[in-house]
Amino acid sequence: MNAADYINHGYYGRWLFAMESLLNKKNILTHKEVSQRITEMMEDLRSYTQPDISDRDWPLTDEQKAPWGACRHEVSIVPAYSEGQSVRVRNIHPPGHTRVTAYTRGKIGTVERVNGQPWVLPDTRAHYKGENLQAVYTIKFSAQTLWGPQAESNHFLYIDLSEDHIESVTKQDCIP
Amino acid sequence: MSIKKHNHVENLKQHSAVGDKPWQAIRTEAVESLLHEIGVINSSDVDDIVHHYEEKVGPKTGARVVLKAWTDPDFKSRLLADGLKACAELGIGGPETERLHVVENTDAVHNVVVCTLCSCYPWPILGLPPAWYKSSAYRSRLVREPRALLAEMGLQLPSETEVRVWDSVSEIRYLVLPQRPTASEGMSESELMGIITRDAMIGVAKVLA
Repeated sequence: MNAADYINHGYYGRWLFAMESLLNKKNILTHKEVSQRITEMMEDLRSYTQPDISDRDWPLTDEQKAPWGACRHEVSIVPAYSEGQSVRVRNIHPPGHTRVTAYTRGKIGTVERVNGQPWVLPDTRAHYKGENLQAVYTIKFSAQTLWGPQAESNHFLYIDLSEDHIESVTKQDCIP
Repeated sequence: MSIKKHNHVENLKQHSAVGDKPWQAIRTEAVESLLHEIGVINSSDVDDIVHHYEEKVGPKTGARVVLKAWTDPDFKSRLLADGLKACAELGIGGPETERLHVVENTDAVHNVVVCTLCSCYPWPILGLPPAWYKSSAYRSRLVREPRALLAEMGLQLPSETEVRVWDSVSEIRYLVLPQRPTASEGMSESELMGIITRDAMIGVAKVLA
């Protein structure tokens, strides 16, 4: 999405853009059909051009279906990190969808809580690259770690990150 | 995708009869009607969902949880241990919250919730998030300067109070358990329900008696 549009279109404008793009890409509803319908609505026509339902990839096959939102499975996983452990957020910038919170990249924090359920990793699921079941951690950072000397005092941030987003801190990496 | 091929705003600017409706609403109407005709969604189901979140689920649901926690210490312990499980005791639950962490405000600690990535929010407990919760200003400033932002929103926190900002993602949702004001000691349950606000359960306000 164009950067200026991202800001100007607003929260729901962005959702709409994403939904329309996906529907178009998956040949469920094309941009052309949406434009035509809007034109007809604007012209206040009594009846609208009906979409030809035979010529599109709907309904979805079972393989194409994915559950909405966060999800997990009833299997057991072994979380790699434990409460109280120091971890660093990996400095990664994968193309496409990622939930690595940008302002934490490369920063060191402490595991506050292990949400040790087998969560589906949105970063890979979004690109059909597997579910990558893994724990989600609540990591505690001091505001100074993230914002430096201009941070407000007595302020801590608790940020949820998936296991693939963090790495252990070795001795050489001791905080200077 | 090229912006020239698909520019939301330009498409509507060609037409004069937009009236007061924002272009997002008009596009949504067009997309919804087409998806209904193709059979992807059913418009009456969409209406039911909107009605459910506009009329049935809202901050009053969260206020029931807070009230119970204020008046039943055992429930409060269970709520802090596993938010969703405790809410289920009150018949509260639903989509968009797989796991709920309840964080408690005290004299020493003030908690406040944000989702910098999008707008993760405990839907079944608080309903749909308010517009400001989804704004770039709230999402970017709360993590960077919570004291300054909360002061602008009407909440001055003393410097000795520790501020904890919870930046949530889809998997874990947060609810702030506000402090019960001392002046509320003699209040009835319905009076208490009346003072527990949505903003206090997000953490941008305190409950005032």
